Amino acid sequence: MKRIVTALEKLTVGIGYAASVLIVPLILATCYEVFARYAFGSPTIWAFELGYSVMGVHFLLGAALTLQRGGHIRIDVLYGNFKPKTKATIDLFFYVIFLLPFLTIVSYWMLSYAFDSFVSGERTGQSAWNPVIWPFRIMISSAIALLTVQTIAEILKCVMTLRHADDQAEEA
Amino acid sequence: MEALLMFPALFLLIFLGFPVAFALMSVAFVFGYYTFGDAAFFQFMQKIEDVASNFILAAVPLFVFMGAMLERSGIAEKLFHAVHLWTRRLPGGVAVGTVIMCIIFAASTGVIGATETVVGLLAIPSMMRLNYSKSLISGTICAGGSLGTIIPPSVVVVVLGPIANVSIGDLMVGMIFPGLILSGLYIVYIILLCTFSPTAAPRVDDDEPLMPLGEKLVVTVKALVPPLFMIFAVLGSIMLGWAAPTEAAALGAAGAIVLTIAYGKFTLQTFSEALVKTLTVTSMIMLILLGGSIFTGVYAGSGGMSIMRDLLDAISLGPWGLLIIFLLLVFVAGFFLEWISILLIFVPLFMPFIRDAGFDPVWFCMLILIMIQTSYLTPPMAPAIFYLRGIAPPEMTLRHMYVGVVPFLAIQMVALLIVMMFPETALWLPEQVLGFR
Amino acid sequence: QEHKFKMATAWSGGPLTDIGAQAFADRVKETSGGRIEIEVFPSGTLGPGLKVSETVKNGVADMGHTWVGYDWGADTTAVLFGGYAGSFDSERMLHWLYRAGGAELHAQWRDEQFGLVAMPLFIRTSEVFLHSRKPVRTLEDLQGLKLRTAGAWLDISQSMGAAPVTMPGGDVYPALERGTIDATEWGTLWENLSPGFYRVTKYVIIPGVHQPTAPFELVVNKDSWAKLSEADQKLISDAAFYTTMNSWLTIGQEDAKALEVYRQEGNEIVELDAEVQIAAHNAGIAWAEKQAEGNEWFRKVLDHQKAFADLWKDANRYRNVKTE
Ligand code: NA
Ligand code: NA
Repeated sequence: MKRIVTALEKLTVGIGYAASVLIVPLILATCYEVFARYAFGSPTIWAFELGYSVMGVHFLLGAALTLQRGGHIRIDVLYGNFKPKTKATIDLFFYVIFLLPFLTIVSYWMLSYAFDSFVSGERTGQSAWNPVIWPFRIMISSAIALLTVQTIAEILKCVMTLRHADDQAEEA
Repeated sequence: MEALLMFPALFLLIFLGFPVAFALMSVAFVFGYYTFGDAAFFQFMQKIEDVASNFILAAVPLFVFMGAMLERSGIAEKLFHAVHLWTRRLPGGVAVGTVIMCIIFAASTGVIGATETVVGLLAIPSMMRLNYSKSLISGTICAGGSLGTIIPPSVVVVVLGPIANVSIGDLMVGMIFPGLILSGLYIVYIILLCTFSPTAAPRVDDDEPLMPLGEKLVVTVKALVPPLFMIFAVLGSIMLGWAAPTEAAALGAAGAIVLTIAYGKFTLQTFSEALVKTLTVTSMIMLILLGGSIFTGVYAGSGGMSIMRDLLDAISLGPWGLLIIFLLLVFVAGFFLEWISILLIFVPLFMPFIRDAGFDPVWFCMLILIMIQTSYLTPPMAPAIFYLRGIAPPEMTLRHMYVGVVPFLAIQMVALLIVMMFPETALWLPEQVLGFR
Repeated sequence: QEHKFKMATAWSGGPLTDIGAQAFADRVKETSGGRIEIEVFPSGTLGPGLKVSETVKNGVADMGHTWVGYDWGADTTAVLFGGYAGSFDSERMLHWLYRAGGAELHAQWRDEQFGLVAMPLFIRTSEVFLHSRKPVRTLEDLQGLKLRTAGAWLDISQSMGAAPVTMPGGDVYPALERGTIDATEWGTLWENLSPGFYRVTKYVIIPGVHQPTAPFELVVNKDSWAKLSEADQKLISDAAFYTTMNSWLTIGQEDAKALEVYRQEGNEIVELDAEVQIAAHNAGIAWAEKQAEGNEWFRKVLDHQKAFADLWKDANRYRNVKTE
């Protein structure tokens, strides 16, 4: 089980680190837009749509790494005082009952949404650039799939914590 | 009517410790599927794409990155020393200097964690050495460190603007005076306290030779240039009309990289640390926003908005009564929730009433922002205290911290009253910067 | 039979809600004796403001009030139904829709391409061309002008030498006030009062060559539509027609009053040279001809509109009496 978790998290961390670099094109494109507008008097047609796409893909791809790092805020007024076993039980319950089905269904639907827009050739309609929308939707569905993968890793980690605690109890 | 059950369900999940973002999504998932069936998933997808393609929100990662870079740039140390050249002779001089330092730093970053840890690491040892009271130290660091929200630029404003349907540019400029009033009151309080109760901050035995004024000025100017450069890149470019708020954030982010290089602190190591930190903080914020957007969609779709409207109409408190109730709700919520949840849950509910009552939305957002300041300090959910615990020496206890923040909470209430009674404090400056006449 | 419907809109208040979506809902409630209730949701609550048709198609809302042009990314034909630089004026547009088969064509297109029931609901007269920091009269003035816009006008205005920018709605006011952009288009004279652009820009440039008219539409989910009896379907269509004609009348009168407000506020009203007006119209037509290549629906609607314009080509001579 531990090996599965390690493998899954390698994926999360690898993709997460890669996604973190996306901030660089966001800075470059947006600064260039300001520069182009004043220096050349001609704003770009692509900076706006490129900017929001990069922003969206950046944080969505990062969601899994953030989960792996425990970075999603919890209100730990009560939670902070629970024993590790109680924490694992609560997390396990919510991950399995709510989050996993939610993410699984949404990432699947998002993928078919992306596929539909690939077939229809739908465009964003948001600027003169007006690129096709399916690559963005593919990225969104992949990001949610990655978050699903990390949720599975978290579930396994909860199970391991519970088992470990049981073993210790038996030994005692 | 099911819509009304969404809140208890949400609070249950949140208080059991399930991450806020996922709690919002889970509740929306269950209630949405119950109300809309499969259509709920279309709504979720639309909301995800909507939040993921909101250009205004690109300012969030940019401001976060700016803070993460500046934390590692080393400009804080120089600034700290320069400020203290001027404040050390005042009663509570180091504390006063710390607040000033916090103001300058807050004006060059958009997040609160960055300001507080950097300033805290410098100021705490120096105040401990001078035997400042530990509550004063904690209060100063917590209150000063969280000025990042109310002194522009601010990530909180970037999130608040779209929710309240108010221009981010107006908020960024409008908050300058309320921010300065609040921080000015902090300084006045510290000086008064240390004058009348010298044990809080024993006077320095002045054996250090005085630095000549010329040298003092040189050191100060040198230390002030980098933060001024940052302030200009962001606020200046907005006010001069060079850049829209999101673009200004990008200029600031680029500026932070330039500064770090100029100070010789730029390495691939620090850069990649800053990138990963930016990613996780941004994801955390944005996922809560996303969860909130999904939650609100289901809530509105199941008739929650109209129920709430009827409810508030039925109470009929009059505009000021409502305003006070709203602010009180935010204050109480601030004990238990962090700022994004507070904004997401309450602001969409308040805004229609504020507009109907004829209050200025920008002014109301200022009041909310000041209230958000209190949420950083009020336990149990007190981010400012969390950050302080991360950097405080062991002899500073949680008790010192809780006691220490109380006077600063009181000051925040005073600032709230001032801005409430004199709306011009928030509205005058944007009026001056704009206009064709 | 009683019905309760949810209506998604692309608006967060203003005339489009007041004399559009909400007025329609009120009319339906009134004429059905309270049997049919429509709850109007502001933009962004049920779904994104620019994706109302999708929100309705997927059944998250039963119906929606939106501008047809928002869907140009899915099919550029939307532009012809929503109005663009090559369109005829509002009066002709109303005649085309209601008397020349335009509305039927619109309904057929929405049905075939999007699986939606659709009909006109609300119409704008010519918009304000620009609220601008600089006076714009000639083609020369337009060169390099940083104007904020959306949709097909981005393409067309660029072909005329302007520097169009896309920008989220909430950024427009501060960007204008600080000169990040030179000018913006928005709605008609009356509708533009509440965003307050006149407070930060001196010049009001007329007429709206980019948008001589703007019909809006009601889209209805097919399942929800099927739940209605034939008589109730007729009731809905009648209410939509009534609301559309009313909106046209109200906007006409309010626009006239609004122009006075701008004058009193110290704005200067600048009229585009005839040369620019004609150039914009021609650029619009040229753009449309290009879009029609390889898009059957676009071709069909464009030809239909051209035939109508041709039939009406002498209308100015027999309808307009010269008085000045
Ligand atoms: Na700040
Ligand atoms: Na708190």
